[in-house]
Amino acid sequence: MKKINKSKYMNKLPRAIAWLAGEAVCMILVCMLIFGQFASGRASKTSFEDMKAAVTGAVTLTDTLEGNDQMIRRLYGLNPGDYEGIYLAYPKTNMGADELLLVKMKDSSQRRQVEDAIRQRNAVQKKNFDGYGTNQYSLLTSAVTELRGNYALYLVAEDTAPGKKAFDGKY
Amino acid sequence: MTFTSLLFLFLFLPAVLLVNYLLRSVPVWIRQLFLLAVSLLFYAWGDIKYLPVFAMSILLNFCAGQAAVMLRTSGREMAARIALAAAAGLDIAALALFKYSSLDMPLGVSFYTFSLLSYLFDIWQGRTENKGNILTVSLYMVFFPKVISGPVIQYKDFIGQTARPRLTRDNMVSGMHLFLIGLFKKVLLADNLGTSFQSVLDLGKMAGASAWLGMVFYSLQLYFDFSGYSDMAIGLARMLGFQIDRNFHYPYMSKNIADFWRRWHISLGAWFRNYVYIPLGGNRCALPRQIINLAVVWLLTGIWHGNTLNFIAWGIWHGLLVILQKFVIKDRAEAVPGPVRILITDLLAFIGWVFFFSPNLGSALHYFGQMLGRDGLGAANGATWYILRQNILLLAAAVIGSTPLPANLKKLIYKRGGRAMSLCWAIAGALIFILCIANLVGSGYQTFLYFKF
Repeated sequence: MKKINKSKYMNKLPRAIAWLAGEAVCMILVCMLIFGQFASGRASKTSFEDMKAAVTGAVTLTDTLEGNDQMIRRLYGLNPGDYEGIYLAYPKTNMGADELLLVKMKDSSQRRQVEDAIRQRNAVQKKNFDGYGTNQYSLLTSAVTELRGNYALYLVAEDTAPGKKAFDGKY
Repeated sequence: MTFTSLLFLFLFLPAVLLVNYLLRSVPVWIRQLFLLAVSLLFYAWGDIKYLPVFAMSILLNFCAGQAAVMLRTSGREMAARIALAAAAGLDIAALALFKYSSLDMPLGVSFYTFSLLSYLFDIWQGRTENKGNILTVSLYMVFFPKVISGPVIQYKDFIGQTARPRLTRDNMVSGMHLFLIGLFKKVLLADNLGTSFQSVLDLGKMAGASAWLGMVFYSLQLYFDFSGYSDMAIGLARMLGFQIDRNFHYPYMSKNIADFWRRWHISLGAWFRNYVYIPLGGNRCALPRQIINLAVVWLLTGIWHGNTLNFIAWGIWHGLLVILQKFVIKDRAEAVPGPVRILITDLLAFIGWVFFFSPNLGSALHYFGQMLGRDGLGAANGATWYILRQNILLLAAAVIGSTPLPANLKKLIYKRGGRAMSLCWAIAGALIFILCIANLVGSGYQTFLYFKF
């Protein structure tokens, strides 16, 4: 009967156990990371219309107009058709800074695009008012940018707290 | 950052290609490390929030794969199976959780989960001897041309290439060419067809023919969007020295539904065939069992695409058609002229896409009703003719583009024109690129349709 060289195979056992231990640790970490995402990143089930009504009802904006698709593309470079919902209130004149952008994203792949668009818009507006529009510049510096789950909120106003509170409450 | 973003086209891609080329003479592990780093950067740019989950999942599956193989070699088969099943189970559970809970999905979760499972199954089943190391296995999982929206490359087809990526002039040229074709399909065809489709949806109430037109627009948009993305992914991989098989082969030229699924999203079909259908017994069992196997595959295919009933309905629709084709119709339809069979197959596929673009089953059924004239606006009206007139050239270009005609014409011109044609094609390619960039700059951002999976 052929002798089986058990030592050759048994040598792999400690390494196999080490890999198993690694697997177990990774499983725990993956579960913890996913659980952490649950706590912070869940998508909101609030409809876009309800969210829009809550935020626009709570916030006071001065001298703004509701933006159409063309204006959204122009100011933010975002294609409204790609999102579940998008609402823009932009300054009526070049002297205004009050602004509201509310976006409901279809999936997380859109997040970065929206974030970059908001950041760029804020930077452009700051450049416009830098040096002469101190009040407007101050509003832009204290603007609220909230990217949470499937919603994005960008709010520039004298008092952003009610709008942020409404957004948090409805989310 | 996506393949059609200016940042990718003018900064990321040229930098990666240049550095990859400069590293061609160094030890291959350095090039692997570089590709892994840029792939992680690419993924993080789109979704940094879930990068730790993705990275930890890769590590988990790598440990599981190594443990399973070593335990099996040590004669501990049951322990090996448990190690493998635990990892695979967590992968599938995580995918289900992300898809069916209120949690927003990590970018490309459906695709990278299939890569994780492919690695486990391939080394367990011995489909490749190459167990890889943490660097090459990670590169397989994260490889940026395919991480977000495929193609779904199987582990055994990729791992061998990591040791010897083929950086040749032919690969670079053909890769660039394929990338450009994909860019053209996405930017100039798919995005504009999307606008046309949206113009139909914006009608709200519509005549029957308008709804049919919308269905055609969407079907063509989906094809050019997805096949365009696949072409870009395959072209990118080729420029980096990796070969990926084609993912689409003129699916709207299929003569039956089984043929359609050998031409549409080929890599996904191959994945389900190798890891679900064949392990279940495939067609090497009694007839009732074969039907059940097919039904399971199609149900899973529908569920993979989405968590709402309309996707399950879509999977059931295609499952029924495939079963009918395979076991009832068989080759009886051969007598029907080829063009007629193509039109019928296209019609069946297009009907399925209505489930795809509808947000839920009710909307899909409502749309079918509109196709049958339920809005009471007749078979066709002014809006129908207006939309058709506005889009007739685009429609014609899309229909021709979905056939082998352009490719055959190009081959013919090359054959007749010889070397001089190379310069002409280079100029034409440059013009197409400029046109695509102008369109990208002008139209803002349009996401890829398959990103949501």
